[in-house]
Amino acid sequence: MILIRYHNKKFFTTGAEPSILYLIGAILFQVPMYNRADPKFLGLPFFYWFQGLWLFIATVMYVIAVLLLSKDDEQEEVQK
Amino acid sequence: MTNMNVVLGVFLSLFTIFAILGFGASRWRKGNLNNLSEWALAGRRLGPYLAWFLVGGDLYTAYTFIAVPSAEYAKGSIYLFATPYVMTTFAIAIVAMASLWKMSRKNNYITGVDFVRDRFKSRWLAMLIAATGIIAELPYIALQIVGMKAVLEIIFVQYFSNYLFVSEIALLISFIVLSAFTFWSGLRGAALTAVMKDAIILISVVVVVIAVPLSIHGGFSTAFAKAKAESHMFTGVETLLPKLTNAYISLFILSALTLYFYPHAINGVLSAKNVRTVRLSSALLPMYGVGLFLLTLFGVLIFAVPDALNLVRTTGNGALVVPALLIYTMPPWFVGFALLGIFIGGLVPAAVMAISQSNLLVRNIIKEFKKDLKPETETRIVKWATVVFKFLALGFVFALGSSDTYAISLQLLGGVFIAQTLPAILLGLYQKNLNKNGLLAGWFVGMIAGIYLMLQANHFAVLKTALGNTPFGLLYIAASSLAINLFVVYVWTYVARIVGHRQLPTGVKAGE
Repeated sequence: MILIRYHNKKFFTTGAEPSILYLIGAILFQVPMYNRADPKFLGLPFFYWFQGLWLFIATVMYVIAVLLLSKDDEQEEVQK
Repeated sequence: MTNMNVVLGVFLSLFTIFAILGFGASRWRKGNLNNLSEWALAGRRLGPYLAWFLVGGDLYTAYTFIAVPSAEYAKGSIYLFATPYVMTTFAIAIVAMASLWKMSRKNNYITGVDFVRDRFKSRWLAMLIAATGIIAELPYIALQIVGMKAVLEIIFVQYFSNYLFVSEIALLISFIVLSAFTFWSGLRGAALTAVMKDAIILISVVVVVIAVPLSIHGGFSTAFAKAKAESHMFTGVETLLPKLTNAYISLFILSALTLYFYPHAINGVLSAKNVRTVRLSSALLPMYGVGLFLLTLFGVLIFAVPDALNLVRTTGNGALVVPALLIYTMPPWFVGFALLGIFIGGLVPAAVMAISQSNLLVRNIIKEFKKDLKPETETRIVKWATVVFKFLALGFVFALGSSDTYAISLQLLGGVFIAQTLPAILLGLYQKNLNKNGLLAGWFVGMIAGIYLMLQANHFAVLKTALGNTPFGLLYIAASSLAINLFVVYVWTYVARIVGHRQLPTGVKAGE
């Protein structure tokens, strides 16, 4: 929770802080970090399998983020 | 070599079932046909899991099956950008589309253009955004036609010896089938066939991405080693050329930003049952990216299958990468099944795109001038507009002289157009004080810059690339033209405020 909601600033009109979503963007931006051939996995260069692996990690993180956001959505509903 | 008669037999019988479902749909419950545009939204009040299944199937179009593997085969690792692209786009959906959904539900917007019209109280800006959406769909439809053509080509090339003749016949047949399908069965046909289509496509994807690599001796290691030795992938084979880092980032970010603002995508989201559905189905969607990721690798895998590589080389058509790999590695009955999946994977999305274009034309352009349009007239215009738009899309295939191998550039061209609508739709969600004339000016300047840069990058000839030279190295032209657009929007807004002509927004405010 602390990792995900590291600040209280409201960026978006949704009233939620989906920082977890920016985290994934921030990692994918670091192209030089994963732009390498080794170590290989199942014959795939690192550049390929790293990004493929992130599809799974992203899904898990997105679902966590959405469940947190859903709570905010519900609170919003209640406030109305 | 596989038995082509079996392939053709399976392909044709499945297509017949599909066609009966699709074309028969027009006779089913005839009474509702008048409310075509309402039906488009109402039909999709879906829960998160069914939405996930249907939207997931929609993700697999000719872009996934044909364009991306082909580009990877011809140019190399830069086209792996499609993987971070799908990851990023759903993050944007979770945040931005949920905001748009909330505002739309509150103010009864049906299209993204409705939002812009209300937000900035500008008829012209709204119509311009609508027109942009309509134009941007054309190259995307053209890409679907290229995909359908590739499937027919790989079948016909086994029966006829004259290659060019085969291509043209294939293109003609693809076009006629697509026009007839959209005209006669419309969205209803697309929706009725959606479950069958998605099931065939998803089964094909799962089997293909697992079975094909396993059937290849040596798997990915061999494929990458051979590709390194034999290919001319100038962007890199195992890794990306370091100087293309910015190009890679701009490709995946801009593709991600633009995807949801195509007319056909935005309507699907706005019709969701609630915010949770929008968010949860988007959160689960990166799982489908696994199929796209593995299909991208087919552009490399083909180097490990000499027969398939030969076929692609002799025809000079990279679009045949996936179909050729199928033919040389899978049993004939499955080849027929999967080829049909790829074929309708182009057909149905193209139909949906053409219908969303036509709905936008009627709702946000024609009705601006003629408010009292009869529902029957509306339906008639929508039907005929779909035919006209498809001719225009076909025109794109010819006029741009696009090469099938670089079909992905067609989608990227659409992205350049859609990018020019982002300041109004996406920034408009969060910034309430943008000047509407500034947005108009930004659109014009960005659009002209985008088109010029595309022409320049392709040396005013065949459309092959969407990357242009900038001081930051090669960049996706949607990024550079959007930067120019934004510059104009902000300078105009700032200057207008200083000279006192500040336009107070009278529409909805951010935070509502």
